[in-house]
Amino acid sequence: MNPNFTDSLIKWTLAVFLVVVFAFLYMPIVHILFASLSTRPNFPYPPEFNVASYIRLSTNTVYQSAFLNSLLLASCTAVLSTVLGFLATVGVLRFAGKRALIYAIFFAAPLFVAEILLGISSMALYYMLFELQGNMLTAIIANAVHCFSFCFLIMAAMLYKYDWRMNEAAIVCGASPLRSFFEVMLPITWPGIMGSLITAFVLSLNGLDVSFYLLGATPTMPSVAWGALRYGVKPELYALSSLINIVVFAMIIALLVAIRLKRKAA
Amino acid sequence: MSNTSSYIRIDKVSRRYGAFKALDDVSLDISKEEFIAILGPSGSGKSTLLRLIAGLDRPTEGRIHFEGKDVTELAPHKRGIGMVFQEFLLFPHRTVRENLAFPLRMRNEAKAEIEERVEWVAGILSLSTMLDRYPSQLSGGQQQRVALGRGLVARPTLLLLDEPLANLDRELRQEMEIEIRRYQKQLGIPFIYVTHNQEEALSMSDRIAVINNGRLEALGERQAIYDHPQTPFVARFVGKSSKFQGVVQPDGATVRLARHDYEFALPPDKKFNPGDAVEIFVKNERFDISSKQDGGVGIPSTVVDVVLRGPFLEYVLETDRGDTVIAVKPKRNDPIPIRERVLLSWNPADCHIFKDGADDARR
Repeated sequence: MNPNFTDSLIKWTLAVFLVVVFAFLYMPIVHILFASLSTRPNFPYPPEFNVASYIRLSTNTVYQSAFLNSLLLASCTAVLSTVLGFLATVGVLRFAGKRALIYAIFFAAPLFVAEILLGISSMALYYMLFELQGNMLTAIIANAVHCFSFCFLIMAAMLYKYDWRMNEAAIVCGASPLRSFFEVMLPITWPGIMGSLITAFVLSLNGLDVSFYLLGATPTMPSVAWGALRYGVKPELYALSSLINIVVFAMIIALLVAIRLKRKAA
Repeated sequence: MSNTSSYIRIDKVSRRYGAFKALDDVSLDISKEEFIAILGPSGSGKSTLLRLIAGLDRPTEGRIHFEGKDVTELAPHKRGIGMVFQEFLLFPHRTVRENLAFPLRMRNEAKAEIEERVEWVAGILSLSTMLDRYPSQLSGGQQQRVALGRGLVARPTLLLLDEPLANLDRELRQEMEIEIRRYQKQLGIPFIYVTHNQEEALSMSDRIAVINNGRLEALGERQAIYDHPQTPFVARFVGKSSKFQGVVQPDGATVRLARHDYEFALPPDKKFNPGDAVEIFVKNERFDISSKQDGGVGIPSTVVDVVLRGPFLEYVLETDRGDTVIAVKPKRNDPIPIRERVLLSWNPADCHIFKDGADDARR
């Protein structure tokens, strides 16, 4: 067979495969976006665009408070689990010595605990120990437990390459330890820290199980969406899902752009 | 140099890690305008000593004084020092200008002063054209100069250099050796230069402190350290030399080599008992080579190879007992040919003789 023909056949096959994979990944997301913008949400093809569902969303107080609750929950969880994960990473990489791997495994192991178990267990435990009813605080704590391992892994991957003597270099230049952290360590390692913040944010924004058990009557977006199933899916929900996805995508693109700019600078 | 003008005083300093003594009772006085090299093999404690002076580590015992002030408990960022690291450790997210300005910013200098100092240091280090580049865009030698500039820019009390040339290639290293020494003379602050490379120590410093197993093995002007080593370790470590075993003869005035048929008279200042086993160190450039036909005494050897090192010739000799000895001689147009039979000897005043096991006895 003509080798040129074989080459182009392989190329086209790969291209088609790529398109199929992307379609598989993005079709559900695009479908919801279409549906949210359509006059006929149940079968939006061919689309007839209008923004009615977004207008209805803006007047629906349940969805609004769910959105705000989720935002609060996700932000606090992201900060809490990133701070804890950062401290754990520093501890493991700098001070654990030969036992670093053992500590790292134990820090990462909760990844494999089912969320439903974590949710039920946290609810029971917090009530038993502190008589804490499910509220925003316990939900944040339980979500942070769940997100911590992700944060730890993301930041460990970044900080593993960090030369700790950079801090010493800053200190002998006259920087206090705090200043050397903000002026040198943070700027060098922040893509890892940012990645950890975003991952924890997205995980806890979308997580149903943990929040479901710990928040009781307080609505969050996943719990409202889940509840909505029982009364039939409304187009507002499509609009809400699309909005969340746009926010998440925007954050990730911002992160990528920031890393790009940083790499260009370095 | 005397200790009367002690600018930096290291007083009986020890550093222990558990049972391990990284540094054991080291005292050292450094005067204001001197370039001192701390020379030792890896793991000898020389970097520990540097970290203690910098304040990055605290001594278990002993005190450190700068200009008469006790700084032992002072945090490193308040000591007003400059330091240059082996890996340079430039801040990758900052330009050369920002790297150079960093120590000045940390000392809260005025903006005009910062600009002036950066210009000054960039001028003496020939960095003016690359101030807006990032460290990753510089060659190794340029990064080295930025690291040096960052150490010098804020008028430090002293500059600590931790093997700063180890990551540079040979040619650049020799160039930088001369430059670094020039900066030290120009600025008039002490440079404390840690290295395991005896050539660097000899070419740059005024005095050399030799450290071995956490102890100060020798301290003196470089010429004295080189020509009159006081311990077998210094004799072996400073300069390139060959070691022979010998026994003091019953007359107490001559030494006979254990493995070779060669005897020489003990220098009058060396006192040993008859029958003492001794170690003899001869610097490679202190060997005499004579042709076997001319007669005379020496270790019978064969020329195995001749290596041309610019102005010097390195003769690789094999003794009849099978040991390899290197003898360095000025270049000649008619070098001794390979496979020539020769006699290897030395002027007794030029070798260093120690009682066997003197190194172990000190420990």
